[in-house]
Amino acid sequence: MKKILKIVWLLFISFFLISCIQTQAIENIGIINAAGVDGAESETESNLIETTMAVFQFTTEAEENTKTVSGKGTTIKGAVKDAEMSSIYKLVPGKIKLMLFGEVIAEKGFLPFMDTLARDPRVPDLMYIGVAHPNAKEILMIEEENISTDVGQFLHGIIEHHSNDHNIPRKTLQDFLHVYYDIGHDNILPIFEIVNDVPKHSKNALFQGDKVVGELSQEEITLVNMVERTVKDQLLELSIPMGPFAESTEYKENGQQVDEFEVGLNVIKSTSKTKLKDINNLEFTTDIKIQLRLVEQTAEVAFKSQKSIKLLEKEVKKNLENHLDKLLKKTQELEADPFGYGRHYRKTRQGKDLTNDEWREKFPDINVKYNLDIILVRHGAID
Amino acid sequence: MDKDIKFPLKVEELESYIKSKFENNSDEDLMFSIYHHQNKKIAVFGIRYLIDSNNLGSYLLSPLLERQTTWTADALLNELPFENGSSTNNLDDILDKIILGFVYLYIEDEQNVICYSLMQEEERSLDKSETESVIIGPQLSFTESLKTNLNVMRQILPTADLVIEKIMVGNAIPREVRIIYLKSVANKDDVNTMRQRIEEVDVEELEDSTTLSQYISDSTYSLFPQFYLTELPAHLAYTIKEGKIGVMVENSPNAFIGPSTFFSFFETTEDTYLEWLQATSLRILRLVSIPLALFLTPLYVAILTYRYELVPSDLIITIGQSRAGVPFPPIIEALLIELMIELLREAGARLPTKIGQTMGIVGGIVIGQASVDAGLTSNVLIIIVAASALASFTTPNYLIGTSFRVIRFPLIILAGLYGLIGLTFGVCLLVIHLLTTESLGRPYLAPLYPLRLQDFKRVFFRVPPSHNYRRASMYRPRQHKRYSKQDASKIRNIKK
Repeated sequence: MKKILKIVWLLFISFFLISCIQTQAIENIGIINAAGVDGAESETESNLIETTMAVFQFTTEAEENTKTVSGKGTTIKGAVKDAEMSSIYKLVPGKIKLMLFGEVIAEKGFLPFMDTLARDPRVPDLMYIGVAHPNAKEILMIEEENISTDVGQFLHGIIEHHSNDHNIPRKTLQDFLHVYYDIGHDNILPIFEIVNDVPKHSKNALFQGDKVVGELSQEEITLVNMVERTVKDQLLELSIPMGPFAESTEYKENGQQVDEFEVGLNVIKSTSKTKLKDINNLEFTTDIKIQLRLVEQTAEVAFKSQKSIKLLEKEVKKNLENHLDKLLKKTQELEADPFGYGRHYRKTRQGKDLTNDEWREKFPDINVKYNLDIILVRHGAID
Repeated sequence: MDKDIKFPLKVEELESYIKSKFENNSDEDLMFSIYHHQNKKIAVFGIRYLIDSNNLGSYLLSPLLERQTTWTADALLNELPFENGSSTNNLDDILDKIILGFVYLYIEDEQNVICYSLMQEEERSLDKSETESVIIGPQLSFTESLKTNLNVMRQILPTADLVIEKIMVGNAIPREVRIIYLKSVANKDDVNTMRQRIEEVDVEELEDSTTLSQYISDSTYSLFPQFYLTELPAHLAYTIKEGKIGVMVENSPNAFIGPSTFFSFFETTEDTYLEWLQATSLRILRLVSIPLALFLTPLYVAILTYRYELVPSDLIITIGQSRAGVPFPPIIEALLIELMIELLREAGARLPTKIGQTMGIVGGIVIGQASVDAGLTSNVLIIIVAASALASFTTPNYLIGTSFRVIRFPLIILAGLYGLIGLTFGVCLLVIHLLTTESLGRPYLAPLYPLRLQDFKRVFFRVPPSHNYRRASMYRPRQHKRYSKQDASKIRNIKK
């Protein structure tokens, strides 16, 4: 009985502590769904930033639950505070799904913002990040009628459904910071822009550290993914010269002769392995094993014999190797290493730790030999 | 009592004495007839409505009056065709037994009165079980008559191994209590504990077996029942065969079983009637419903008040919209609906069956639909409360279901005031409480604590018969094996 009295007494006292806990009742907060950060474009207010947020707020009267608010300040926190002035509820960051950074900030380097976000325990580390062209406000302010859902959901969906597993361009805050602090490895983030009044993931930004230095196309992203990690269920579009397949063609296209034909290939699975062959001459080899499925072709080439299949495999291999070499050249010119060759170098090298600056100097000089192993698994039924 | 009244005495003296003892009772109740037989006065008395009048007339009065020679007390005992005759010369005895339906015969000037039990017991006939419903298997339930109940138990377990001990409890109004177990299986210590506890109950009177189980429970401050209460003879028999001990009380249609563990409240005999795979699924469903019944509403309250991050993104709009119109914080909202459900449940239980059903439908519609329309609650909460109410109904035992109903409210309050931390704190207290609870001195949370993996297959699952040859060891039965493992899986086909 004494024990029970003690517990009752304890409970009674603890009732006085109730008001110490801050409530966040779902109907009394504005839940930020997507946020964007833009830098000021004019020189006079260069340290000013503007945040735009798509916010869920629930009221009985309103038909739409999403509202977009924006505010200005010198820090993100300050800008959010400013934005709260036009919102009836307190804005909370716990369910941000996506954060966009305007191009101005991306070119200046956005690590300061990232770092504060990562340190704030209320901000989810698993939110996706992207770059907005030309600025985030324009994308987040898009009319809901154009996309028939709220913008946060929309952009999140684009990233989620167009990159399998955790391949680029699906980059969370955590992923970004991981790659950023990984010496000899550079980030790629998706770029969103408005095309025909609808936000579109058109291309990708290649980073050097936390600054954008160049752009990569979707096809190039696929190649980066294939070098860096395992890729599954991904479309490849290639142009194949007609010449070798002339005899396999079933009939000529209205008498018109074409030099090239397009093939759509589905990467069933591709795995890669990179090795540093010669540390002094910076020679790398990358073995990629790709299983392919033919899903589309523009010429009526009949793949009836093993010979023609082998021929296609050979052409695909040639084509891909060509593309990979070009991509490497391009990144070497930009001095950004999205493949992470620097990691292999760092792993193998003895002695002093590698620094990012050191690798930036060395990266343009590396040689990579690509050994592609192409297997055309299926070429018949197309779904 | 008058000390000077002693046998032998005149019939009139006896009559006035007996009548003086029943002073304020109606005269009609006491039957006191005086017959003249062979010049001797014979008094026949008893309480009218306790006596079977057919037996009295044909087997007692006719032989009594038709005899040609004079009666003596001994002759009465020897010659009347009843098996339970006895004689006494103590007037206190007469009073004690007359209220139990005994009929007394007194021949004037004799030393002893002779008595026979002609009790006409009024009882309801054996019926289908009402509180514990069974879909397949024996439907019979106990009645208020201990004699009938014992009869049923002996029929179900026709073995000399079955022991039925008798203990009288109650100083002012004694009541018969029976301990029932299998001698070769039940743990001896447990039997002794049970017997001792019942013997040591020092009360004036006993209402029911449930009252007795409260007197002898290990901890009266516990939130959980420590004895399994059942009205199914088949269930009692099943647990007795497991090595547990049953207790039955006169005039009570419920028997209780000890030692009982927390998880034994989720077993039904039906599990044994079903195929093992189906029985396992059903039993797991029932176990899964424990956290649902206890924690679903508190979680709703805690998450919506403090931790919006935990709501899945796809749900947040639905929940937010339905919450937007509600004028109360989640805790008030949840308590309100839970209270409504409890009111409905209690009203349904108290009202006559027919009205109760109508009440249920009307209440369900009113509470569910109208309160959402009126903006008093969110429709998500209605679903949650309904789901947790359903989950608490899946428990086969009424007592543990009631415990859940009671525990849910403090948990909701904790969740509403302190959020998930409060809820976690409540869960911890609950677990600590369960760990310290005992039933007949045996751990309540067995086989989880102390861990007995062997018993999992009897408590959490059912297994095929060839693997089910052991009794659960947590009850420490005297015999562990029920049958031989090899024999259980043998299939013998008779070939032509």
